[in-house]
Amino acid sequence: MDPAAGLTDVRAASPTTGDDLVTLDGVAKTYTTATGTTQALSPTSLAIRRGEFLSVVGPSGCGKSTLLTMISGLVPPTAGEVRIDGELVDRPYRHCGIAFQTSVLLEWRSVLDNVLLQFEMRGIDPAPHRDKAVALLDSLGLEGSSRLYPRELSGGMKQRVSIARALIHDPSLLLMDEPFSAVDALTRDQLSMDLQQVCMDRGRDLTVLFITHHIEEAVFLGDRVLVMTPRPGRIAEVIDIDLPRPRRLEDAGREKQAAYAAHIRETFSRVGVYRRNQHEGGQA
Amino acid sequence: MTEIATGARRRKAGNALSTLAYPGGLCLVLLALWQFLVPALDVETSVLPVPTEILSAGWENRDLIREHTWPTLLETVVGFAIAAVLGIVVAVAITAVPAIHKTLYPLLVGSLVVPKIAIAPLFVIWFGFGYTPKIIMVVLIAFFPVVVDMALGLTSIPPELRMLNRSMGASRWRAFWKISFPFALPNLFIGLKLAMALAIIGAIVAEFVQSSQGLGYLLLQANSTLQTPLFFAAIVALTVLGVVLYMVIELLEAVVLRTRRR
Repeated sequence: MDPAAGLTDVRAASPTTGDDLVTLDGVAKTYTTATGTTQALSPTSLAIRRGEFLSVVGPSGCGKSTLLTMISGLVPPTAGEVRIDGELVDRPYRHCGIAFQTSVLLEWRSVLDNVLLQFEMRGIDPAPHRDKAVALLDSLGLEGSSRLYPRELSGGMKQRVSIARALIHDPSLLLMDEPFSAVDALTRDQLSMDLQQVCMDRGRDLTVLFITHHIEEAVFLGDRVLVMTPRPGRIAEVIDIDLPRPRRLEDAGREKQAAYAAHIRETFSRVGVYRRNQHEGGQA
Repeated sequence: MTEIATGARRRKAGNALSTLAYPGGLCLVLLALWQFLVPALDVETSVLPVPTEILSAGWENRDLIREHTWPTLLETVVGFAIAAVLGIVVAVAITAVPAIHKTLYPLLVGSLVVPKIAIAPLFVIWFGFGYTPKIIMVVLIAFFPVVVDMALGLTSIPPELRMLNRSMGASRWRAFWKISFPFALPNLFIGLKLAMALAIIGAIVAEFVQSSQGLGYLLLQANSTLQTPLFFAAIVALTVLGVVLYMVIELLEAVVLRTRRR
């Protein structure tokens, strides 16, 4: 980490080693509305390494979610191209799992059937996968909950089911869009720790793109943290989080984790994420 | 856990009791007032009979009332069923195909404003005297709430769920049956309950225009012969019919939506 580094050259963030799962080349998104066009994401080039956990932090409206939907192939970029495993993404990419801020569980299905939906929608008989789904739910802290219905679950439990649904088909890529921002702080801590465990268990078989507003969470979970500027979003900086795993959440406020978080806040300040108070001095 | 559960059950039972007892109690009070005020104010039976007279008129004419209930029931149920199926199909079509939505929806809303009762006499010219004109009237009246509510349900699927859907690569057919249709069911039931209430009105109105049987016919007969107690008894039969049919839909709703948040 070099706190003195300026805005990283976007090209430098995409070393073209053969071990990248996802590559973005000049990907940009412009939305056209009745009132004109809005650039949601400036041309961005980026490589997500196989097996890494990439956190993305940035202010609201900086195009983080747009980035995710374009990688998933759900929304086409206005310019540039996304490749996964070398293949051009020009339709919804099927070997990924997605978890959103809301769990979007189906209320008429039990927890287990919500997880197995992943197979049913793909036209695969879910029956042979039941045991695996129950085991996955257990590993996510939902022992004995597979027969419950969503209305019987707390917000944190629903989010765990949504993560299980995103992982049950063993995707190579897990895309998470602020999955913990609707739960209380303590549940959020627990979910972060559990997610770290799940990702460690899967090792290089699972690559994660994790979008959040929460700086400490991004540092705690990420192998790298991608820091974004306000709209039109571009990459301000990509930071390697050089800390051994398993990381302890107890250390979030201490030493290295805290130093990384402080560095990200400095970057945010520099790129204008924070509004300056007048009495703070006439710098800008 | 069990303590909470039994507590909740007791509270639920208490609620059920009060939901029946409170309006029931009010009805009894009003009926008693009716029973005593009418003779006290010297109102004639042919103008306003007392509840006991209505009850005895209903009992004496029970075979007549039953005989006239069947046609009305048939028209209502058949018309409702057609309206439900048609309404669902149209709602699916207008939500799935933007062109159909653009073409059909303004016409649907426009025809909602047309007073269908006013064109009922025309149906006699077009479809004759049998069940057909009555059933068509029921369909026309009951159709709209089904379309509107079902379409609302289908369009209120959250965008995240749509995205998830597409990322799982489901065919439209599978996505519809596994996600969209069940998702819209609570809204559909709102529409169906409204449609059932309207269906009976449609049947009675059609019978008013032209009929030789049915509760609408019986009402007209009782009215023109000043058999006011029989008139009221027919109204009671009609009310019971409406409540029972409505409750059938509610029961169906409770079974279908049993796992969902209320």
